[in-house]
Amino acid sequence: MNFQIRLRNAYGRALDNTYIPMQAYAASPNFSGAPIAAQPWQATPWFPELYCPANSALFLDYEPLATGDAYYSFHIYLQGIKRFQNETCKDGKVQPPKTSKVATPPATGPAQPHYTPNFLMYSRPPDGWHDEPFEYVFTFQQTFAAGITSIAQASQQNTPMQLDPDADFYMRGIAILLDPTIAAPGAPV
Amino acid sequence: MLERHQDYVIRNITVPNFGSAQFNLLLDPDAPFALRCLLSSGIGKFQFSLFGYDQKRYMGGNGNPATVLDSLLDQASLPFIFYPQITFPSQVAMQVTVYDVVGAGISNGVLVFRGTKLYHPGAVFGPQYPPKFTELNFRYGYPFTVGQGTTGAPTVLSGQPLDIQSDADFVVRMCSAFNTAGDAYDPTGTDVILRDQYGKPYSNDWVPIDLLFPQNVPPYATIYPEIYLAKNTQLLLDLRRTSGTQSDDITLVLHGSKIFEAQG
Repeated sequence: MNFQIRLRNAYGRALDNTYIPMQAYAASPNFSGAPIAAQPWQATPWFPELYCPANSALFLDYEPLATGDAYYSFHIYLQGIKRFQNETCKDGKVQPPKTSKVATPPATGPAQPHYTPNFLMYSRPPDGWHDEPFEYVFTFQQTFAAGITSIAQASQQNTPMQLDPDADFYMRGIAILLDPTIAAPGAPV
Repeated sequence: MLERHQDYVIRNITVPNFGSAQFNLLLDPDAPFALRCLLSSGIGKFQFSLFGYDQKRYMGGNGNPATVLDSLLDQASLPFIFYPQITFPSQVAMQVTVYDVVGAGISNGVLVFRGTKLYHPGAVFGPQYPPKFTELNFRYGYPFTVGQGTTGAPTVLSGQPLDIQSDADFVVRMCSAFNTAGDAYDPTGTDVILRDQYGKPYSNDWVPIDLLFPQNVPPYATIYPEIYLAKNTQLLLDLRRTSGTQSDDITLVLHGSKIFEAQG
């Protein structure tokens, strides 16, 4: 079963003008509802990155495009980095920052390319801070004893996706995994 | 220099088995054209040759018709890149020859020459970024219901407004489409023309929908250069169907960023 979704950022601002098909947000190997045949699959890049303060929540509205199934299940993966302040040790020394995996573009030199990939334009940690890759996974699923009989029955609004309190999160990619659907009881398979 | 997205389209390309056909594409008189890629729809494997204004002959296509290993132009939405770009003056005729290389022939195919028109600043409507701004990744979705049509009697929705909200400018970087009900997504029977808010089109003819609004293939069709839209304005869209057995519910999505002007 496919859905239309709407995402809101940590401040409640919608990131689209209306419900749009979930495929518009991210790739998935099984939007057809069939078992996953394509591996591996990757997140869809998100540019510019979306800043999410620590302990905030993103919100999801969703509604199905059809009725009849007895069950729906999908997962949203938010990929990005958490930004931590470097720890200060007891002796007063500051823990050296971890090495960033993002290459730093050359500052000078005649061979500057005209094209700059997006990942080089993401924000960088200030002095005394470092980034760590992180992925949030949120699962949305529900079973209906008599099957989904109306769109409204399987629609949800303002479903929170709670983020951790330990660090700000910068979202740089999104992926959606739609689980295979199960027909309603008594419905032809 | 102001660049503006432009598609030049050759439709109804029909080539006999192992044969060739020549087409002349007359460019618009308002601006030179920088050709950057070639896309196809409804065409299998083929080769092409193109005469530039410099009288050089550019060849492309499958590369090896004997083994057909290089299916460079086998799929729609898979562009052949011209690098460096080929710049044509305005109002000249581009000479294109299409060859069928596998003996299957070509019937009613479409070629789209994608690039940019080159204008002097101020010669054409083209809002730009403010000096300081912040961005918010954003998507605009627009649902349409289009009845079925035929080649002789197409169903056309003209001048459909794609409105931009009043809180921020929006820059279009990618496009996609999704069928939500009705017939299956049909790129050979659905075409679009994108226009700016004054009706000036971004193409000379109907563009197959999969070359501008592809379905289910992220990262979708990239629009280069970006189309910058001021807040409270709109893009206009013509949508045409020449196939199908029933009405089609289709959602077109503009991907990009909201642009908020920064103070100070």
